[in-house]
Amino acid sequence: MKSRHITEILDQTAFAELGAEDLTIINAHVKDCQNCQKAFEAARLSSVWLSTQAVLAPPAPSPFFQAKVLNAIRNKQNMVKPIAVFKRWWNASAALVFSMLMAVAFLIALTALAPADYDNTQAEISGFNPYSTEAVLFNQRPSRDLTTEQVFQVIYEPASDSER
Amino acid sequence: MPRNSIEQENALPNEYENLPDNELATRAAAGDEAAFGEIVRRFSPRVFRFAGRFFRRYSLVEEAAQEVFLKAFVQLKNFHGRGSLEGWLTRITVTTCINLLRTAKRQPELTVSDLTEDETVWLEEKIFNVSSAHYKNEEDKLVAADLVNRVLETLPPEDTLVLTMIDGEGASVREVAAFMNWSESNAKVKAFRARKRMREGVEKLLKAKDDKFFKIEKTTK
Repeated sequence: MKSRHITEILDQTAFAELGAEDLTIINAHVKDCQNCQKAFEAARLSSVWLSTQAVLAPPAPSPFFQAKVLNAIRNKQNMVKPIAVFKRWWNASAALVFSMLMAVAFLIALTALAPADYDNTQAEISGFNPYSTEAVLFNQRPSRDLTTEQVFQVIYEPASDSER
Repeated sequence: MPRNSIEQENALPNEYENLPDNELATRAAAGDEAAFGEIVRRFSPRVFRFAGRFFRRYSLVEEAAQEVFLKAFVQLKNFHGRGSLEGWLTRITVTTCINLLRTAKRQPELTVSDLTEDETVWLEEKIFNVSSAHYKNEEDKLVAADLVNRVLETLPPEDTLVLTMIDGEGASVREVAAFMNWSESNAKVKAFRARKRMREGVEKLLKAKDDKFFKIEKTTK
């Protein structure tokens, strides 16, 4: 029988649970196979040591264990407090930032939707500057339809007799 | 049910001792520290026993047990009394211990230098003298438990649990499967692999013993 068979038998069930038939097969095999003999010895020792460990008295809590746990809980709760404060602060800041963003969005919407009293784009196309000398001299809202020639005419036309 | 601090202060410790587990859990979840203290007192021996299956050093067992109760305190609000409080705490114990073992660095394989001269001689003397299921002498029991723990420390945490429960305490595969929430076939496969690793670990230990014993004999001659 190959050694694999013996180790398989050993690993399949707990050593203490091995039946008489299994033990007969194992004992017959280990007489000739040194590797399997070592495996058998190791399995036997494992079983004995594990059951020995199980019968040893389990570790018991010390009389101060309860107090230790309650102290640890209190410490943990105290550690949690600064986090709660930070959370409250964070929520308050979030509300503030949100209201600011809403205000900015409102202003953007107003700028985009409200009717403009002066079409800047049109002014740029026509090359008319509302702050030009001409506009200031007229002292009134310049007409968008005023041509350059008309402006020059107003500026450079000879003064009337009454003005002189 | 004492909901405020004044009522809690007036509640006598005896009152908690007689309360059923689920009632204690409800009070502790509501923030009653004395009720949680009673839970710790009532279940710490069981938590220690289970943690003792995973850790050899007492300080580690205590650390794991403390971690278990801290987790239990935080998670008590999620305990709705569907199962037993004992079972719920045991599950937390097992998962906590496995997680602690996973995060801890696993010990490398045992080597010749890990065995002291006394241990080598003890192994040489006792190896063939064990006929019963376990040692009778208290000192032998302690040495054997120490050696088995050293081998177990080299194995994955789930192997340790399977081996201590099935091969050590005589639990059935079904019990382990139910305890760990595994299928029976999965528990069987895990037990098979764990036994193989354990056997190989002990074989290495015995080889280390042979090498060391050879050296000791050589120096004494």
